[in-house]
Amino acid sequence: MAFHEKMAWFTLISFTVTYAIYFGIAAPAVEFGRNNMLDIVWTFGPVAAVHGLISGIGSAAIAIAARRDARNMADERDHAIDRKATTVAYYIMLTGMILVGVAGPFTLPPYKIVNLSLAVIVICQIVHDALVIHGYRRGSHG
Amino acid sequence: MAKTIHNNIRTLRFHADEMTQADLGERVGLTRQTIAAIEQGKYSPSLETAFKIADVFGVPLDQAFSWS
Repeated sequence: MAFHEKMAWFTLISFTVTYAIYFGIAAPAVEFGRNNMLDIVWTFGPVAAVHGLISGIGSAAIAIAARRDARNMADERDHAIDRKATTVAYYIMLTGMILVGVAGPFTLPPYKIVNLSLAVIVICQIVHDALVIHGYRRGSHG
Repeated sequence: MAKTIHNNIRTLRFHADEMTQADLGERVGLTRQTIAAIEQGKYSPSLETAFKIADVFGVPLDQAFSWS
């Protein structure tokens, strides 16, 4: 398995698990609590910190385990796969942010706009990683 | 039926003293996994890389890659 595919698997799993916990447990707790903006910071902060820690340790572990591959710079196939995935994720991000940032302020409270913005970012990252994995497993041309 | 790119890299490696995928990759600036993907038809390399691969084996481009 290519080093960049391993990293995509790791990022996909860590993002999905971490933010499933946040949006499944932490975010609703905030919304049904005092609905204070600071509550979001105190809820999201630890989740983001744990995710950062997991990402750092996991990335280092994968790089050490695949020392030879990790030394290889990304080649043209890696770039081609990443370019396609990034293009799709970009349009999802664009659409999501327009919906949240333009339509949201008219109908939603601030804490929901913040959480929806986070959700859009997380969805983009998950779609990006899933497309990268698909590119490596099913093939990529051009 | 749609035409696709085929290649003879596996055969060319065999005739080049069983050159490894890693060796070929190193000589043309690709990873071993990308050479494997090209051999399996999972990735079509850029024109520049195709020329580089043909050059490593000292054959014309159409002996390394074909369109059929």
